[in-house]
Amino acid sequence: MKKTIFSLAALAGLTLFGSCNDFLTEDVRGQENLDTYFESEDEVNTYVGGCYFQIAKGGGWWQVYNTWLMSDMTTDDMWDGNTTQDDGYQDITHFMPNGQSSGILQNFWGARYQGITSCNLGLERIPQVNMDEKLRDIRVAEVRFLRAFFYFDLVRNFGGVPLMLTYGEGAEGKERSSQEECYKFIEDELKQAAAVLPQRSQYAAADMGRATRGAALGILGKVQLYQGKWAEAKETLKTIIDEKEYRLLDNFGDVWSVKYNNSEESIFEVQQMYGGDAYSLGGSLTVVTGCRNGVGDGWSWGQPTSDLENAFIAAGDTERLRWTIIKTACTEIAGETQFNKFIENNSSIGAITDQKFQDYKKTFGWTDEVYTTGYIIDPAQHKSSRIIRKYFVPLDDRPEIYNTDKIPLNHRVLRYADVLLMYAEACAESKDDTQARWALNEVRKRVHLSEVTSSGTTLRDAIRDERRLELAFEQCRLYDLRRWDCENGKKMMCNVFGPDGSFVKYNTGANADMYEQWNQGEPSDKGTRFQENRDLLYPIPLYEIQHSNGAILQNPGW
Amino acid sequence: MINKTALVQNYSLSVRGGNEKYLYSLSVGYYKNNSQYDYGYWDKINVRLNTEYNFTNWLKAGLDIAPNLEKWENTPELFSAAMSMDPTTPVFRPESEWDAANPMNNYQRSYNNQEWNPAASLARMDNKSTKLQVLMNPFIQVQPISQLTLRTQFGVNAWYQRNDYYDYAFHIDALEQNTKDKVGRNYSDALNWTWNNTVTYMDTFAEKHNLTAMVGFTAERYADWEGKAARQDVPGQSDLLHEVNAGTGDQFAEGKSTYQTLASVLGRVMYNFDSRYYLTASIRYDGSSKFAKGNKWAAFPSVSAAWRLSEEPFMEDARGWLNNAKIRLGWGKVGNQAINPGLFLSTLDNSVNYVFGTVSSRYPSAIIGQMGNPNLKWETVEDIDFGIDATFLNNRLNLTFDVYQKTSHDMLYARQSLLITGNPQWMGAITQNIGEMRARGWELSLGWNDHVGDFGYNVGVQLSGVRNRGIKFSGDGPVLAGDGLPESIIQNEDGGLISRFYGYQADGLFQNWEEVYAHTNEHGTLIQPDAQPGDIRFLDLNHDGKLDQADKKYIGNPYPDLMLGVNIGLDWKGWDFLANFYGTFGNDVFNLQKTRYSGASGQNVYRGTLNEAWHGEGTSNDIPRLSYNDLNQNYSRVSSFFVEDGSYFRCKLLTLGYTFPEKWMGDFNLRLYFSAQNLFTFTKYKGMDPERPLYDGNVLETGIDRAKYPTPKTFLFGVDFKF
Repeated sequence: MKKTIFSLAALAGLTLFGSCNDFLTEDVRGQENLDTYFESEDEVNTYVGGCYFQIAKGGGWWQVYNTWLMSDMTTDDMWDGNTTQDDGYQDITHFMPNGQSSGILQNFWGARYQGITSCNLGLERIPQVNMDEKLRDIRVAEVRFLRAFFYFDLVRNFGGVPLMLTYGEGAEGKERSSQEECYKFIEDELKQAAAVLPQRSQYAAADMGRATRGAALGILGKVQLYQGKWAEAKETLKTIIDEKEYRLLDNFGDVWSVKYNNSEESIFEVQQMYGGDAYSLGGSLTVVTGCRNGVGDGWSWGQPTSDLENAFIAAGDTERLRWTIIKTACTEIAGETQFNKFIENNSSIGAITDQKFQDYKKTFGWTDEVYTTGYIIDPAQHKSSRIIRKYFVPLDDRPEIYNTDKIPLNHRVLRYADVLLMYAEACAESKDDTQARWALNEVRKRVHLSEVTSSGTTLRDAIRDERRLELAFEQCRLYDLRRWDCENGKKMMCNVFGPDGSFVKYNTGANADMYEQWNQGEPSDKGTRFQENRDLLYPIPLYEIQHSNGAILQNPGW
Repeated sequence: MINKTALVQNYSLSVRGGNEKYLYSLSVGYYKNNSQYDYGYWDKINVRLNTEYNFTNWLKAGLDIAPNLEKWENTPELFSAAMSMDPTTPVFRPESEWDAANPMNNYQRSYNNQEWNPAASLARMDNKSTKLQVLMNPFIQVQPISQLTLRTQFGVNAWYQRNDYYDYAFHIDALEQNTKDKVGRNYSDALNWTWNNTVTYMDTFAEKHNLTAMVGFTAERYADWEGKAARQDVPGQSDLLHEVNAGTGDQFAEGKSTYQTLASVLGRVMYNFDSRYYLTASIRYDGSSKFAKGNKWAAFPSVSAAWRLSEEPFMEDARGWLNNAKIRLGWGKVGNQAINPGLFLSTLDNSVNYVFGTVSSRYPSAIIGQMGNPNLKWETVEDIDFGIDATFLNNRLNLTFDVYQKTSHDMLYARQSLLITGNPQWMGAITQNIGEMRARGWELSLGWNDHVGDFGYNVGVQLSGVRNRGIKFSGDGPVLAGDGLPESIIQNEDGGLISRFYGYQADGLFQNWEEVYAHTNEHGTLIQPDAQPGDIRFLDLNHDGKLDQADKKYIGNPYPDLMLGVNIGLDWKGWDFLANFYGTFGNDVFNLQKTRYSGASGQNVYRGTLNEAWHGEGTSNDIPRLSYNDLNQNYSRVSSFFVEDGSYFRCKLLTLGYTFPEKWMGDFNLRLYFSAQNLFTFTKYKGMDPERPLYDGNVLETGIDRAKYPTPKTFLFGVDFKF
């Protein structure tokens, strides 16, 4: 008996010990292991989908869309807007001394490097996968395009950044590359990608939304333009025009319509759709920039300035004005067939007899008609009492849930009108006024504006004005203001902002807009703190400066 | 909404009995603890049965079994929200705006900040759990000869847990809403077992040589399973429909399994000569599933010796006053593998989607889920200890003294890293063997017990101190930790004390413009151009005329210089009294809650902020002026403004009891007692609780006050009844 028990215990112990290394092997279950991934075409496709996901982190607004929106807020086109809540934007958009601490920029910075890391791994592993070679090359080129785009999105905001080019590369001691080095890298990558990527027309319907040759060339042209490489930009952009893959839509109003996602004008878009609560497949900007007092639940961030509105009016541009800005007390919203719902919504600010509306009548010279036939964007809650029409979705097109990451409106990253205007600018800068006028007038024709016949600096300025109106709220203005040289030898940004900046003088002067003047929840002196030697780039997030132990240097002026 | 008091009830009953062959004990307990909110409780019934049976004189077996049943409503974490909510916002909207269809919509959105209405959050709480757990510990012990014992023990800890919840749909504001209601159920169960097998040989040779030798093998496995299901859109308002089956909308499901294993081979020899000289040596060889192949196993030896000098013949004269004296010296290594499983693997996150197609359709995608660290290995803690135990004066006075040094080699730590690494973890944290850290400390415990007639008393004092120092951390720079402000609050560097706060030196407030303008360096550069009177003056330590990383220094240490425990016991004719005190001295707290003075983001501020904050020359030299945008970064810079002395001395427990005398009660034994926990505290600390911050975080990141559920005062009335 004793012996039996003894030997049984010993036997059991020995058997177990013998198989100990098996016993001690426990893989993570339910998640695929990276070491054994990249075995098939399907896995490559899934992985590349994830690289696209990184463009805007799905529909999440706080990593990428937030900074995209803030980019326009840092210009004369857009206020932070929401005056009932504290924001994290003012540190940056009002050029505050604590801009380095901006959590928004930190999130964006982190998100972009996560995207870059995904792409780095893809570029290392996909070429070794046994699959259809042609498709494999395309997938690699798509990832290459995305990585270049992510770097571009960093460099245009922060200047030169650390170039992380291999997966798992040590970050300690890594320094920033110069802006020139970064742009050189981005250009090379985009050229490589453009040589392989299919044209828009070559993709199957199910692949719509993937990176195209046009997208790679378009971003390449922009990178060249941003550096003032006029001849190269001109050539690149001309290639897109000559390859005739794109055209302007007939109606400007369709450009940002849900019904015209991935249109022939569109060169690259963030793909979004309504996925219910189960999948966050939609975009967020519609809700983030929506009217705070309805219809729908808007957050009222990012409001058009009257300064921009004035620019439309000065240009006689009624068409693009109505498709770009919705203003309080309006009696129609372009493209909205259920405007009566918006009139009904006026009760959200109280009854017509309430003191609030009576005060508005007195302050803004309104009549009762405004309440009974107009749409009131509450001046008390909105800095400019205006909201963006481009991101607005008419009631008929809204999905069941009007909420962030549910909106099926693709975000237009690059479209043909931008390419035409970039081409016009590159031509004008390289003294080819004929081509410049042609491209400029193509864009103007659509919105029934007269042909521009000028040349030289006047033509160049006309192109600049056109960019502002055509591409308002499309993340172009900030980078244009930062790069455009003016007659006084300064960047245009320095003439718009600063104590004597045009935008500051207008808003703090006697001719300021009555709504913007009345609501000081966001101070009208935005831009007075602008510093020429500091604010032509965003600050590198302080977190990164601190954690780099001195390797990553801050931009000047901080 | 938050109550000052919460009721705790605790009942227990135990019996024990047996004979030479059979021993048993049984206890049954019931515990109920209400939360300090209007929602939430914890209910527990536990039973413990211990049995042991001697079959023959060489074979015995036993079984401990302890089932328990717990039920609770999840206690919400709303302290911070309740503190931040501005007091001018009413709980409810005006009654005229009430929504008859959904009363959850009747709460008021904050007028001034983004905090969700905590009363509304509380009203929506519907989250209940039930857990059934069984602990079992059967063993068989064989003693073929009296010196040899073979024992095998198989401990099982298994539980099953169910959680049911209902998320209300509500709309208080665009930013405070849930568009669809959701009903869900989560299941989890676990089976953890530990199998210990030992062979022990114990013998005495030549009367004075005592030897114990043991070899053993142990194996452990921890398995967890989880399944979750939920569905949206429950029709109607009835509680009866709060079942997943009743949902009509989107469906949600999750499920996963986690396994961890450990195995050890161990051996130990203990020897003593004549109960005077002791020697112990052991070695264990541990394997863990948490490390990759090649790093799974590590060996951990230890050696110790002791000398009981009071047994020496030459000490015979001293026995009158020295009852026992022993000197100990030990060295040993133990392993640590307390990290999440699977961290050495790089994995994909398949939960993301993108969209492609002319007709948009979901495109299941994958991103990097975890960047693993294949080089992870065991952390080794090397311990050297020297100690003295002694009792004097008829065992009335006892003393224990220890000095020790604990060195952690290859310390396991999730280190924040640069965001350019692209690591998807929060703050780019990656778990690694971060380097070497050393704790050197001492502990002294003194006790005295005696009686004067019927009056018995005892007093004990425990004193200790420890210094934790980083020796060498891997990588270039210091190890940063502690989030909550734009920059990391804590810095750990090679050779320095750990977890110290690192930031700017605040030097009071500017009282007037002259002082603002006077704050320049030697060349007259204005150091704080954005400051106004009432803002904090920060020191420009390197005199370069601006504030940057180079002006930071260590501004506080969360670890105390001295820890003190005192306990006092008294008894007199059936009365008994017990008091425990505990305190720490010389430690700092980073009072992150001071940001609540700022009123930034329209949040509530502390009562009296208006008067406490600077509002004119000479009104304050601590709390800066209230401002809309804090251009001086009073509240966003890591600075000594936040650092406060966290020393405290607290009465942890007071108990007064009375046992009824035998002559009244006969065979019954009845004791009534009243006790109070955390009754009073002496501290200069201005936050809620000086004790709590040191429990948060980890060894390299502690001492930041995050306003977690504070240590509550508890009053207990008890009845002990034995028969």
